[in-house]
Amino acid sequence: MLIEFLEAVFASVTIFMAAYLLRHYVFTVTALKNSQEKRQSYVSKNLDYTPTVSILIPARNEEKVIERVLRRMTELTYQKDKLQVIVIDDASTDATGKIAAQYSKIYNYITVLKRDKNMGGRGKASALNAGMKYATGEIVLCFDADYCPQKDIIEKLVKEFKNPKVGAVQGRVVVLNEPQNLVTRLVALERIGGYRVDQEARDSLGLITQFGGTVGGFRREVLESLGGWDENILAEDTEITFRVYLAGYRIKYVADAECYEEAVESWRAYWKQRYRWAKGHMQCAFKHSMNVLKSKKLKLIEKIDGLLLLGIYFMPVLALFSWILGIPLFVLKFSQWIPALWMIVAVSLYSAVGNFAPFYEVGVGTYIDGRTRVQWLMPLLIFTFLYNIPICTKAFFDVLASKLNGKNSNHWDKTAHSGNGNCYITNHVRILKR
Amino acid sequence: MRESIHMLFGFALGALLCITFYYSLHFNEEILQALVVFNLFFVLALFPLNGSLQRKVVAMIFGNGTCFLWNTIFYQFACCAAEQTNGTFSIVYLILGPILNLFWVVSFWSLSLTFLLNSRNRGAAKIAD
Repeated sequence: MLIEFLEAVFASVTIFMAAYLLRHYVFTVTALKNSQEKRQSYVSKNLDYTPTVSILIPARNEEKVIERVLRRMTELTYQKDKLQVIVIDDASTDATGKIAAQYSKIYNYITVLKRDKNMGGRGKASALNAGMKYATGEIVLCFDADYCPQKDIIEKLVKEFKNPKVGAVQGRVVVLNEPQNLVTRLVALERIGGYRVDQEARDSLGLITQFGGTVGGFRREVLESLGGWDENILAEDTEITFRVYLAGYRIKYVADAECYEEAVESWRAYWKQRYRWAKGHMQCAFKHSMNVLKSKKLKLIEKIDGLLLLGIYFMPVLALFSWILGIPLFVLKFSQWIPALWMIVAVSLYSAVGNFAPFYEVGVGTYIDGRTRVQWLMPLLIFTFLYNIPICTKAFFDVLASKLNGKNSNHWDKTAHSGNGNCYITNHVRILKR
Repeated sequence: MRESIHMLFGFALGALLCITFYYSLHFNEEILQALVVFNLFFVLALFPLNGSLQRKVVAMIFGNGTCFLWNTIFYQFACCAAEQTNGTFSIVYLILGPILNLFWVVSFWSLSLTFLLNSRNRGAAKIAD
């Protein structure tokens, strides 16, 4: 009786995983079809629509990378009289504030908001909310300090706001320091799967497009009506994504608005970053699952996709659970259908965590992008997935513990950036001498 | 449309290869299962891509050969190991078999992508010329 029950649980878990694999196959085929039918237009449309734009750049101890993003802000092709750049120096203890202040002296559209020890260091959401108070633009965009956007990215992003249903936009994140080492190459693979296929497919299928926390932004009135970012959730980007959709707006993904990020360079940094993402995402799942189910503004297909999106970081935990359950079942009782279900567990191990993109989604993403060398690393995705199992399991138990004891113990473990990505930018001209 | 025809052709070819291998080499059903799974996956994940049918077919035939060899050797090894360990290894074989099988399948598929992409890039270069 017990074994039959365990078999039923095992079957349920693997069928759930199979649902994800199917979902991502649909995404893969959709992105592939899109790429075959249309070539992305790199010419900005609707140039007659030029709203005022505020750009928020939260920065905490980013002296090695802040100059890169600020220099790029000065090179943007968007009308400077309609641009406001706010650097939020979040209680930095290094030269971040000093570098930003130097830019602020030369360029009148760049301002620095200094947060002291008492107010700062409470995480990105808190810094963004502080910056938001000073933003005057009709559109509010966010960029992380380690990012380097395209020069015409603002035109590409804001043109989507012409549609009043669009409450937010999201551009594409591309890894800048990909050739640096194996970790950065594997992160690049994850990003390709996540943005080239996943986000694009979700956008064109009319599902939940995710705001990634950077390289994107909001219509100011929408952001104000939502009350800004939630400071109690570590994944403030996913959290606000759901609030935008629950308020009846859409998020538009703009594939040709590319921004280059400095990916984590070591397994230790990878652990810290993914733990924060996993924990934050799980917090969102607890907060929004019921809201998504009850919402009258979401279509059924959006509700299903929204719930699957909220459950992404539970998948490595479920993979571990299926191992714990499946192996004794192999030993104790051997049913004919267990090997077939086991195949699903095996396939799901070759997935990129973050969007649970199976290897075929990542591979097709590299194919669409025309990348050959990075494809050869795909078998190694199994190791990143295995590495993510303890990360997500720890995050799961920590979230569960905080739910049980009622204490919200959020610690924002900031990702350190080395500035090694600078060497991959061509025409590296320093305009300020430090 | 062109890719859908490629997929239909791929399914037909996969079925033909499985039947040919099975009846000419008389191997066991486990290897046949591996071949069926490989062909199903390969057709679903490679044939919808933009590229020449010839290259896809060549990759698929090579893949079937690799699948047959890998699974035959692994199965023989598992049989010997199971006999030595009083059947314990057969459990290990069942658990690790699909994961190890996928390791070469993913590698082979990624190489096939490169093989296909190179032809696409060469085609694009010709048009540019």
